[in-house]
Amino acid sequence: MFYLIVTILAFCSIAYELLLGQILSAFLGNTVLRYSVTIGLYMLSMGIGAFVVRDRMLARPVLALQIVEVILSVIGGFSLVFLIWVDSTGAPGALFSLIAHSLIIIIGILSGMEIPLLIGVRNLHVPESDIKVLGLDYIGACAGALVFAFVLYPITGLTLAAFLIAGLNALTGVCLITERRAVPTADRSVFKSLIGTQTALGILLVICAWQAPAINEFIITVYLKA
Amino acid sequence: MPEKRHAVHYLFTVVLAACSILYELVIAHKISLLASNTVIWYSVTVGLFLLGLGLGAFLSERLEKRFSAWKALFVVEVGLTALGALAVVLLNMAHMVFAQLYHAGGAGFGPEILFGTAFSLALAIGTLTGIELPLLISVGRKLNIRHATSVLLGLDYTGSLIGALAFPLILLPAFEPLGIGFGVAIINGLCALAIAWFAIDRRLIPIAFSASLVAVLLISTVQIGGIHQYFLKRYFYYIELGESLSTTFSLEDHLPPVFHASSPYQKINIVPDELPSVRHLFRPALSRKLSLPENHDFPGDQILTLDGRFQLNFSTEEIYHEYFAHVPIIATRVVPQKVLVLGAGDGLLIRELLKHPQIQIRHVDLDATLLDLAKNNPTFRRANRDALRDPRVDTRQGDGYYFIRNDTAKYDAIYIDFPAAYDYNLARLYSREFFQMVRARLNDRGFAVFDSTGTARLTPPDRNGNQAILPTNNWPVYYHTLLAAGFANADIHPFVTTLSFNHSELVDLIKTTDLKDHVINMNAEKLKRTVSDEHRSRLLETLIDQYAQATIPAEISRNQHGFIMLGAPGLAVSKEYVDLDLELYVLTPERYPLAFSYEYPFELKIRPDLVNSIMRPRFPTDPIWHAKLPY
Repeated sequence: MFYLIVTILAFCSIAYELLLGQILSAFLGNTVLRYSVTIGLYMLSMGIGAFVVRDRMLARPVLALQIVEVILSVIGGFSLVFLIWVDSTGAPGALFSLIAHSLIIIIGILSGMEIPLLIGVRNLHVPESDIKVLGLDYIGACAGALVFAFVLYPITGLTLAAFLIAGLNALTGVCLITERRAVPTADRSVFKSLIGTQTALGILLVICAWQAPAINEFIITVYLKA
Repeated sequence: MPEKRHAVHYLFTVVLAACSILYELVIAHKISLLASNTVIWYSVTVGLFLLGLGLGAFLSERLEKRFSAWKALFVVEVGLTALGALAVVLLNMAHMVFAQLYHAGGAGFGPEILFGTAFSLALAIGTLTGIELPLLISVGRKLNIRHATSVLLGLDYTGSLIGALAFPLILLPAFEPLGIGFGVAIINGLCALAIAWFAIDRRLIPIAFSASLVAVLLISTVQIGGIHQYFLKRYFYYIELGESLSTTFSLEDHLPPVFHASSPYQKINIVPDELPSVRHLFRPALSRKLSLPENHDFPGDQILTLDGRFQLNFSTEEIYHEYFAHVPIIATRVVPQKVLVLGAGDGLLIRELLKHPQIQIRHVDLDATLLDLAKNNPTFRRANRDALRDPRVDTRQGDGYYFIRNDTAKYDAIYIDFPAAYDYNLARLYSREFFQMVRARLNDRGFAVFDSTGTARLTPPDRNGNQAILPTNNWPVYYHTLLAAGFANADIHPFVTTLSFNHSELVDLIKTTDLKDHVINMNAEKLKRTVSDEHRSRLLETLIDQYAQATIPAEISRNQHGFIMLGAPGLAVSKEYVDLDLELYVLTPERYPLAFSYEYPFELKIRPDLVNSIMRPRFPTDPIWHAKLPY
C-alpha cells in the first residue's frame, strides 16, 4: 500500500506540471519553450522542496505529508480554473506567465517535500528504504508523463484531467490512514481532521470531475468573453 | 586549498546536470522533428529520463561497492559524452533505415527502429545521469563538503534548470540539434578528461582515451556543415537514394545541396527538385505559369518544406494560393479592403491578395526567420514578387492566436494560412476558441478563410466527376469545431482545389513530350507483338488515350487541397464565376465551379467529442506512431 501511495503521488505531481505547461503553451504559444521551462523549473523546485523539509516536519512526517497533499490537491485541481480567471481579467501576458510559473514552482516545491517526508514515514518501520522510495517516485513520474501525453490531454481533456488527478491525489492522501499507528497519540485529533478534510476534498473533486463538461463550457465562455 | 576544490566540484555538478538535460532535450527535439507531435515526444523523453534517473540511483549503489567513485564517474562521463554526441547521428540513421524500408515497399520495422532508438537513448542517458549524481555526492563527502547531499542535489537541479532554459532560448534558435549534441558532448568530454587528469592519478589510458574522444568531437564540429548536409540529403532525397541500404548510406552522391535555415519555431528547407520525373511533365497542364515567356527561365522546380514536411512546389504553388486568395472574393463578389493575414510567412498568399489594388493588409507571422527569407532570399522573392516589401502590407512578428485574442479591430477578410494541425501546439490554431475569436473580428459582410488540411481527402473523380469522402477526411472535426465556435451551417463553405483537365490537350501534351516514351516503355511488350507499323501507331494512339484517361483523375486528386470559408451571418456566396480581370495561371472559369462541386455532409447537432479545443485537442488525426517523410 505504502509503495503504491509513493508512486501515485509522483504520478500526480508531474501530471499537474505538464498540465500547467500545456496551458501556458496553449495561451502563449511556443510549446518547446514552455515544456523545457516547465521541466527545468519542476526539477529545480523539487530540489528546493527537499531542502525546505525541516527536522520539525520529519518528527511528524505523516501530518506534514497530509498537509502537503491537501495543498497540492487544492492547487493542482483548481489551478486551471484559476489561471483562466486570471487571463479573463485582462491581465497582461507577463503577469499571467508569472502566476503560472509560480504555480509550477509551488507544486514542484511541495512535490519535492513529499520524498523526504515519505522516506521519513517509511523509516518509522523499515530503516534504509530511501532508494526504493526514490526509485518508485521516478517510476510514478515516468508514468505521469506518459499518461498525460497519451491519455489525459488528448482523451480526457485538461479540465477533467485536472479534477481527476487532484481527486486521485486527495484520495491517495486519505490512504495515509494506513499509517495511523505511526501518528503519536497527541496528534490523533489533528490527524483525523486532516483525513476528514482530504475525504471532503476528494468528494468535491470527484463531483467536479463528474460535472467537468459543464465546468469546461463555463470556463471557455469566461475565457472568450474577456 | 579545499575551498577551491569545493568550488570546482560545485561547478562540475552544475555543468554535468546541464549536459544531461540538454542531451535529453536534443533527443526530444530531434524525434519531434522526425516524427512530429512535440508534446508527446517531449513527455515521453522526460518520462524515460526520470525512469532512467531512478534506475541509475539503484545501480549506483552497487557500483560504488566495487569501484572508486572517481573511476566510476570517469566511465559514466565517457559514456555520456559518446551517447550524447551520437544521439542525433543515430536518430538520423534510424530514420534513414525507416525511409529505405518504406521506399522498398514493406513498412517493416521502420518506425519501431526509429522510436526504439530514441527511447533507448533517452533511457540510457537518464540511467547514466542517475548513476552520476550519487557518485558526485560521495565524492563531495570525501572532499568534506558540508551537507554534501543537499548542496550537490540543489546544484544538480540548478544545472538542470540552466540547461532547460538555455535549450529553447539560446541554443535552439542558433544551432542545429546535431551541433548542440556535439557542443554539449565536448564540454562533457572535457569534464571526463579533467577527471582523468586530476583525479585518477594521471594514468595514461584514461587520459588518452578521453582526450582522443574530445579531439574526434572537435574535428566533427569543424566539419559539422558537411555532416548536416549529408543527413539533410538523406532525409529529402530518400526516393532518389532509396535503391538499397548501401545507396541510402553511401557517402558520395551527385544530388544538389539542400538549403536550410532554422528559427526558434521551425526548420526551413528548400529542396531542389530538378530530376526529370513523369509528374513534372504534367506541369504545363496544371498551370500556365511555365509556358509564359517571362517565366521560361524560372529556376528548376524547388520544394519548400517546414520542419521537414512538404509545403509547396515553387513552380505550381498557384494551384493552392490562387484558389485560397480569390475563390472567396469571387464567391462573395466583394473585394475586401481591410484584410488580416495570419501565418503565410512565405508571402505567396499575399502576392495573390495584392493583385487587388484596393486591399490593405495587416500581416502577422510567428517566424521572423521565415519573414526575413521571404523578403531577402532570391527564390522566395522571385516567387512572391516582393510581396512583403509592398507598402500596403504591414507585417508584424507574433503568434497569430495571441494576436487575435488581444486584437480589437474588425476586418473585411481574415486569411488564415498556418501549417497543418499535425501537432498539439498547431491544433490550437484550429480550435473552437480560435475560430470564435476570428468570428468576433469579422465585419458585417466579412469573411474568413482557412487552409483545412485533410478536407480534400476524396476519392479520385469517377466518370461523371463524382467524388466520395475518404474515412481519413478531417471534415467532421473542422465542421463540429466551427459549429461549437458559433458558425451556422449556412455560413460554412468548404471548397477544394479540384482541377479540370482538357482531355485532348493532355493527349497532345503526352504526344509532344517525353511522356510518350514513358507510355511506350510501359507497354513495350504489347507494342512488340503488333505486326505492322500502321497497327503499332494506332495502338499507340489508343494507349496514349487510355493513359490520359487513367492519369487525369489521379492528377486531379493529387493536386486537391481543402479550404473552408466562413462568412459573417447572412453573407451570400455565389458558385458562379465572375471575371475580376486578374492575371491568373491556374484558376479558370471552368475550374472555379468545381471548387464547390463536392457536397460535404452537414448536420444540425454539435458532436462534442469531435470539437477541437485548446482544452482537448482533436488534432492530429494521424496515428501517433508515425514517422515523418518529406513527401
